Order: sequence, then structure tokens, then C-alpha cells
Amino acid sequence: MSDTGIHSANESGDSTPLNVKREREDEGSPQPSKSHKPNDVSDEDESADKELAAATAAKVESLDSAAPAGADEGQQEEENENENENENDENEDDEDDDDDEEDDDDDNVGSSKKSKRRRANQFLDIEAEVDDEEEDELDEDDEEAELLREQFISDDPNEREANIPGHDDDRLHRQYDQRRQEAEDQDAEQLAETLKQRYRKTHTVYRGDTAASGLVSQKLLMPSINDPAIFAIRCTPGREKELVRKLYEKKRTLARLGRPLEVLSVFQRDAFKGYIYIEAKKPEAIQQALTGMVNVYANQRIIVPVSEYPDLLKQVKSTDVEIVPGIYVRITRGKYKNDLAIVDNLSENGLEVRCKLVPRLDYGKNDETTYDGKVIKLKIRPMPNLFNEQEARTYDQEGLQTGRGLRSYIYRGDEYQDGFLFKDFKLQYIQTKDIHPRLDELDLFQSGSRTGDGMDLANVAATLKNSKTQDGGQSSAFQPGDNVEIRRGEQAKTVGKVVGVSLNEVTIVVVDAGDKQMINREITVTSGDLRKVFALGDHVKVIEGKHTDRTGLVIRLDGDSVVLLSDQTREDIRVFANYLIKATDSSTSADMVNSMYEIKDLVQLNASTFGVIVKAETGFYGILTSDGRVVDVKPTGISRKLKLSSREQVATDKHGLTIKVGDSVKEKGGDKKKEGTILHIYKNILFIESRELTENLGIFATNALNVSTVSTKDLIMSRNLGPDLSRMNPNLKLAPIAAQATKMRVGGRDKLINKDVVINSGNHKGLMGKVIETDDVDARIELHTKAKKIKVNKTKLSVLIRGESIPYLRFIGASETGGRGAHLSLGPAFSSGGRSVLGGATPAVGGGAASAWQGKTPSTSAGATSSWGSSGGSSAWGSSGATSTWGATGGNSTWGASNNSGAGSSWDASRQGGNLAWGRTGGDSSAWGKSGRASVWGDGKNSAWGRNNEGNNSAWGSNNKQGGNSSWGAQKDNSSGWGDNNTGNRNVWRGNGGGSSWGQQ
Amino acid sequence: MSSRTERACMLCGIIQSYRMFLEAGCPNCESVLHYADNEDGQIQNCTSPSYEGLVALGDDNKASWVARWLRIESFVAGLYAVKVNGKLPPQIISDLEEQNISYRPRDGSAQD
Repeated sequence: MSDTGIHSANESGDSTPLNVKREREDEGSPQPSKSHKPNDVSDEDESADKELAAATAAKVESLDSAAPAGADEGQQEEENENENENENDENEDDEDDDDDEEDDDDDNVGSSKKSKRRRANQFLDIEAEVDDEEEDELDEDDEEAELLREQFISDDPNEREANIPGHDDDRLHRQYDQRRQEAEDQDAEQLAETLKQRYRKTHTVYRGDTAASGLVSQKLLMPSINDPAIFAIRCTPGREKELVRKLYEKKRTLARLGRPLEVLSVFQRDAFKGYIYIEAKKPEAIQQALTGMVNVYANQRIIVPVSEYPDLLKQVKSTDVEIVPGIYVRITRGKYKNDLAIVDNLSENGLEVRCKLVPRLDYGKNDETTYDGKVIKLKIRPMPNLFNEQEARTYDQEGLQTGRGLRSYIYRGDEYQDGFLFKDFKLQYIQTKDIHPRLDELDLFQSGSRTGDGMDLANVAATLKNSKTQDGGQSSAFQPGDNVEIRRGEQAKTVGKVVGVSLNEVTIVVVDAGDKQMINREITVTSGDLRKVFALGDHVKVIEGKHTDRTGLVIRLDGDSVVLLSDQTREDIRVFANYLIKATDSSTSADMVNSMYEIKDLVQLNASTFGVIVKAETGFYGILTSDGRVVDVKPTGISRKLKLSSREQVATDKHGLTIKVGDSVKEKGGDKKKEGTILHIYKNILFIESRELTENLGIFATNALNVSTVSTKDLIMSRNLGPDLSRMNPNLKLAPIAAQATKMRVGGRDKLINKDVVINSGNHKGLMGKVIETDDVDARIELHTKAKKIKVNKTKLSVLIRGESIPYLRFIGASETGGRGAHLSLGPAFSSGGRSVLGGATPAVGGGAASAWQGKTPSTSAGATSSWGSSGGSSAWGSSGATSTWGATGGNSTWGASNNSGAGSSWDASRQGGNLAWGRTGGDSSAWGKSGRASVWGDGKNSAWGRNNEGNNSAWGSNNKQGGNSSWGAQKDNSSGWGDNNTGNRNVWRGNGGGSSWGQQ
Repeated sequence: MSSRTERACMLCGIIQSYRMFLEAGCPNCESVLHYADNEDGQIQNCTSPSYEGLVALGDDNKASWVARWLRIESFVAGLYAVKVNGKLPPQIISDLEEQNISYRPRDGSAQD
């Protein structure tokens, strides 16, 4: 204590001016200080003490504190406090804090008010400084306080002057108190510390990236193989977040229990539905982590390749749409759910978006009021409409305020400008993807804009661009040859011509650019950066958007948009330039949506006039009548539309062939041929649509008798262009008789049609039916038994004529060769026989003996046809070089075969009717003689023919002479056919023709 | 986007309920952003209700590549967001810069 006193004294002594000043202040101070002035005056010497007392008094006064019970102690404390103040302000602050807390603590502990106050009295100042509660008691305690002050001030000097034993006691008390105080202070500090620990542990230093450490580029963080593995684990879609949270809890819990999961992190991304990702060093840890978890399939896991790690944690997905003012969005919640909005602005932190909307207001018009004054709001969402100040004023005056600026209002807390609502929406209630604004929505926005210049095409373009990038949708058609201009970027304003288009990029040849060097260079530009360029007067067609299919003349160019005069409505329409293509034709499907008639309809004008609509203008139609004129008729001038069934629309062409709608026909009349597809048939007039004509949509009218069929719709399936080469394959032994038969179709109907037939083979073998359609190869048959139409190869049919079934081939053969009865039987017989015998020889069943041979030839033909066919007789054999022919077909084998198998019959046949034949041909004996030659007959047996030759003229004679035996015998030991012939045939040949015919030859 | 009442701190990305931010602040950024008991919109300004990608991070975060990649390896265990929509107000960013703390937006706009 004395320390303090001395110190104070010194201090005051040293700094007199201060004291003086303070004294003066005291002079001016209110009553309490005055009260002890007399004392001050009496002890003038002890200015320090006086000063101290005054200060103390002042302090006590100023603090409005209650007087303490023990004045001495209180004063001691006072001094202490003062000193503290002087020495260390900061400390005091702290202590105050601590005391605060201590008090709080006391309160919490719940010590009674009474006891607290008592303690407070002991530590007067501290208590006084902080405890506001005491204020109320101030008045009561005031007098008491003064008394006490007088007392302790008077005491004070005594204390200083002498060490009286009684005072010692006091001192000890005070020291004790002080210690207690200190101890308690200590406690308070500790307490404060613990409290700090408990509640302010978050005040740790920020450990995140600092300027020094935070500059690590993301690239340096790229994963390496040393990093832990990331496993993708399949789970129930929609439970990903829940699972991550659960795993987090699990890890925390187990970590507390001292056996932590060895899982480093668990995460989930919205973009990867049905998976959670676990980062762990060991796969076992995953198993451990997932045991007991539901909705996750621990066995279905994939190790994510290291290179894909960054993709898993990318912050921006390619599909994300950046919200910038001007783009279209949709609202996902509330009154404007699903409404289109235009982003007007973004809040600073990007969490709120100010959107421009078409408001849905009914101004309370439809609200109902219950009898007790409650307003029931209409549940139905009002239609979107621009804000109408008039209505708002009429129906809901009180909700309306004028806002800032013209045409700006605040209605019911929302701001309206130019009729649009401007409202802040939370980011999460805004949909940015897959907006697909509809035209009617855009129109609403457009309708409000005062400029009236149409919609904000820049917006449309921006959204379109987004939608393109999202859907990968096609760009509006840039076609080679289009003139384009680059809209932005370094090369903006460059004009070029499209030379190539790929998915999203367009290659152009620069035509005009600021930099002359660029001209004629090819550059590649993204299609979004291009705009088509049109010139005034261009005839264009709209290919996208609301005005699709309109055509018109470009009358004004306006940046990205083009104004064109519609051909159809004679109105101006404004279209985005990229929606246009150059067009040569005028679109004809005008504004006739509601009309009864369409282009190409067949209509009746009056009893005798009918025609096809080829033009539809507003107010009238252009009709191509049956006589080829085009007349303009008002809709009322058309009496009716002719709706004819396909059964009714049938005619025959000049060849008598049936023609139907859809068939292609050729008109052979006038100066040039016109070809086209039949559009309508009515009363023998055909309306034909040609691809080559340009007038009247390419439609012309003609009489059915002027046309010939090119192809019929029914034939399309088997229509071949050119000859069927596969059927000409000489290696195929099967005769394509039908191929020959096809030619018969020309010039007449297939005779098979409407005939009753029986099917000879195949699945439907034995069934009967009627032929309803035919083509080259097949016939369509309506079966009698089943109500079914089947397609059957014609050759598999037999035709029933008067109850007799005739094979198709014969049926057509008969019909073809007609009256030549003699050959009738021969032809086919021969052919069939020949076919079997000679193999290839068959097909040409020409006709007649000679012809028979000729016919035969072709087949042998493969080699020798021509000779046989064309030259016939001697020359043939002579010239054609029998070698090849017979050699080719393999003389031996053929004849051998014939000999072996059925030689008899064939040659019998030939012999029977063949005498003549042979005789005739034989007339050319020389031929045989010559031709025989080594090869053919030589093969057969040199002797025979060779000798023939040698023996010359008398070929067969020589045969005979030299012993036909040998020759033919050589072929097949005399025994065989010819052997027989020979052996017995010396006679025969000799007998028959021997001497005579062959001999003659 | 999350519609829960939880918010993500734009600085560290931790996900907590609004209440947690108000009562205890952000376990990582409290010393610089002072969320706790801060009534004047600090939580609204510096945390975002719109975030995507949930990452559960344990105490052994130093070893985790995921944590390093997301720059949360020095933070406490907790749930973090991969992407936090929104940016800190410029005022706060400049305050952070004064304290030598580099702010790297978590909304995907950071480039390097």
C-alpha cells in the first residue's frame, strides 16, 4: 500500500501542472468535492493527498457508485485501481471484460442478489463500474456515500502519517482481501480462457490459401498414380447425397471410437447420377465403409482412371449455361412457374437474378370477398398480360404507386416497367437449360417493346446459339453458295461465300474484307458467327420459324434481320436472315390454312369443267382445267372437290394397259415427250405431274390415250433397269424361259391376268386361285381357298382352261406361236428333250425344224449360237468352226451323254420328224464333212469324221464305208447309241438315207 | 442446386445450415469472415444456398487428392461443396486481400 502512496506522491509532485489542472476541475465539480474542500485547505502541504482524495471523490461521483460499507478498504481498492489505470490501460480493458464474464458467471451460478451485492461492496470500484443495476439505488445511497467519503478522507492522512498498530490490522485485512481478489481475478481469467476455448475456438487462424501459398495452379494439382484411388460405386439414383452424408457420419463416429475408416473422402456429383465416389488407398476400405449401408451396391464398383479425376470434380459442366443479362430462362417456382423470362440483371454475388417477365395479374378483379371481409384470391393463374395501369387504378387503387421514371409503377410491391414485371428470383428457382422459348411467348415480350421493331434478335440468336450447343442441333441451313457475313470476332464484317459446311463450322471464301490480303482466302467460321447476306430484291424463302415456307422479295435489310414482302399475303414480314434461303419458286401454300381446298386437289367447277388447283392466292385459286388452260377462280366458283377412290381412278393407255394414279407415263404427242406421274384420273383425262416442267407446278393434263406406260406403281418392286444380267449367265443351265416371256408383255396385257391357275410347286402347291396382277416374273394370285393374295413365280403355275390345266410355259408358248400346229407339238417337245439332252441347247425353241435348230443353237450357242442361228445349215457348221462349238459344249460328253441317257429318244424324235431335217441340213453334206474335222468328230472318233474328211464328200458315206462302226463305235463301243445305229444302222443309214440321202450328199 | 436450408461458404466451401453459420460461424473462415452472431447479412453475402457436388472429408484430409484438388486440404473435416454458385462481395474480397488471403471463386469462374 505504502508503495502505492509514495508512488502517487512522487508522481503528483513531479507533475504539478497536471495536479493544478485537476484541482481546478475539482473546483468546478459539484457538491461532493466541495464538501471536503475545507480539509484540503487545512492540509495544504499534502497536496498529493489532497489531490488523491479529490480525484477519488470525483471518481466516485462520476461513477455514480454507491458508497462502500468499509470506506478504508474501498479507498485502498480505489488507489489500486487508479494505479492500474495509469500504468496499463489495456489491462484494465481486459479485466473489465473478465469481470463481465465473471458477473455473467455469477448470475449463471445463481448466487442470490443479496450476497452478490455484499461482495460487490467489498470490491467497490469494480463492482460499481460494471453493475448497472445499482443505479436505482443511487439516490438512497447518496447521502450515505458522502458521509463515508468524509470519513475516509479524514482517515486517510492518519493512515499515511503513522503506522498505528490498529492500522496494521487493517492492512493485513486488506492484503488478504487483495490476495483473494487476485485469486479471483486469476479464476476469472482462467474462466474467460475456457470460455474462449469453448465458444471461440473457431477463431483459429484461417488456414486456407493465402497469397503466398494460394498461387498453386490447378495444373500442378493434377493427379498422379501416387494419389489414392477413386472408386465409382453404383447406388440407387437419388440417394447419392444421403449416402455421402451417412458415410461422413460413419467415418466421424468410427474415428471417435478409435478405428477410423480408411476412406479419405466420399463425394457425389449431380451430373453423375447413380454413383457415389469414394477415395481410398485400399479397396478393402470401401468394403469396410459400405458394410451395412443400404441403397449402394458395393460390388458394382469401377476404378476411375487417374486421367479422369479432374473431370469428376470439374466445377463447370459443359452443359451449364452462364447466366448473363439478356438470355432466356424459365422460372421454376411460384406464380410464374414455367414462364419465360429474360434475365435483366444479376445481383452482385450472383445469387439473385432480376428477371423481366410478362406479369400475370388480375388486379383483384376476380377475388371474392366472404361476408366477413376475407378476400379469397382466385386460384387460377391469370393469363400473362402486360401491366395495365388503367386497370390497376380501377380495380386496385391502393396497391398502386408510381415508380421511378416514366411508365414505371410499383404495384403490390413489385416493380413494373413498360408493362413488364421486373422481379428478383433466387438463382435456384431459375432454369437455364432447355428453355425452348415458344414463339407466342416471345411475341408477348415483343408486343410490349415500345420500339415495335420486332423481337430482340440478338436475344434470339444468343438463345439459339445456346440451344444449339446444348442439343447439338443443326445450324440453320448454310448452303454452299450462300453469301454470308461474319458477325463478330476479329474478322467481323468480312463477307464471303460458303463453299463447305460441316457440323458446326462453315468454310467460306472471302469475297470482301477490310484486309485486302484476306480476299479469296478460305477461312472456317463457326456457323453461329455467320449471318446470311441478301440483296434487296432477292427472292427468298423462309425455312424456319413462324413464317416457315413463306416466300417473298427482300425489301429492307436491317442488320441481322431482313424485311420481306410476302408473296402470299403482300405483307411485310421481318425475319432473321439466317432463316432465309434464296428461292426460285413461289410458295403456293399460302394463307389458305382454313380453306377447303389444297394445292393439287382435283375440283369440279361445273358439270363439264374440272381441274387441278395449281395456285392458291389470297382470294382465288388458279386451276388447271382438263383442256390445259389455267383459270383463276374464286373459292365460291368451285362447286366441289372431287374425291375419287383409287378404284375409280383407272384408265387405259394407248396400248390398252391399265394405268392408275401413281403410275409413270409418257406422253408422246406434240413436239416433245412429256413424262410424269399420274396425279389424278378423271373421265379419261390424266393430270400428270412432271418433274421437268416448271409451269403450273409441273402439272399438265392430257388424254389417257396419248400416253404409254413407263412403269406402273405395281411394277416398281420388280422393275429392272436394263436386262437382268444374272439371267444371262451361260453357266446356269436352268433356262430363263420367263425372261423371254417378259417381252410378251410389251404390246398387251399379260394373258395370265384373271385366269384361274393352279400352283404347281412351293408352299402353296396344289392351291387354286385367280391371277390379279403380274409382272415380269411373278404373278399375284388371289387364292380361292384362303382370302389371301400371294406372289408366285409364273413358271410354277398351270393355267386352267376349261377345266384343263396347262403349264404356264405351254400356255404362253401356245399363245405365242399360234396357228402353226405342226410345230406346236414339236417345238416344246423338242425343246424340252433337247434341253435335257443337250443341256444348254434348249431355250431357243425357235419354231419349225430349221428354226428348231436355230433355236437350239443359241443354247449350244454359248459358243456357237450365231453360227447355227444365223447362218443355218451348212455354212453354219462349216464356218463356225465346229471345233469350238462342239468342243466347247464338250462334244463327247454331250453326245455321249445323249447316247448314254436318252439318246434314243432325242434322236428318235429327231429322226422321226428329222429325216427331213437331216435331210435338209444334210443337203449341206459338205458342211458336215468339212466341219466334222478332227476336233469334234475327231474327238468322237477321228476315224469317223476324220475319215469323213479324208473321204471327203461322202461324209456319212464314208462313215458307212469305213465302218461307221468304227467311228461311232469309237465313240462308244459300237454298242452305244451310235454303235447301235451304226451296227444296225448301216442298214438304217444306208437303208434310210444311206444310199440315198447321205450317199447322195 | 440444393434447396435445403443449408448453405455453402463461398470461401472454403463448407456446407452448414444457416443456423450453424449464425451460431458457430464457419469452422475455417471465421477468423476472416466473422459469421457468428453477425446479423448484418454476412451469411447472406458470403455463403450460398446454391451449390452442387457434395464431398465428405475426414480428418485425414492431407492425404486426399480430392481435398487438394478442391483446395480444402487444410480445412477441418466436414461436408464441402464442389461448386458454390455466387461470388464474395468485392468489399470482402479486398478485405481478404489485405489479409493476404487469396480468394478463388468456387463457382467455376476461376481460371488457371
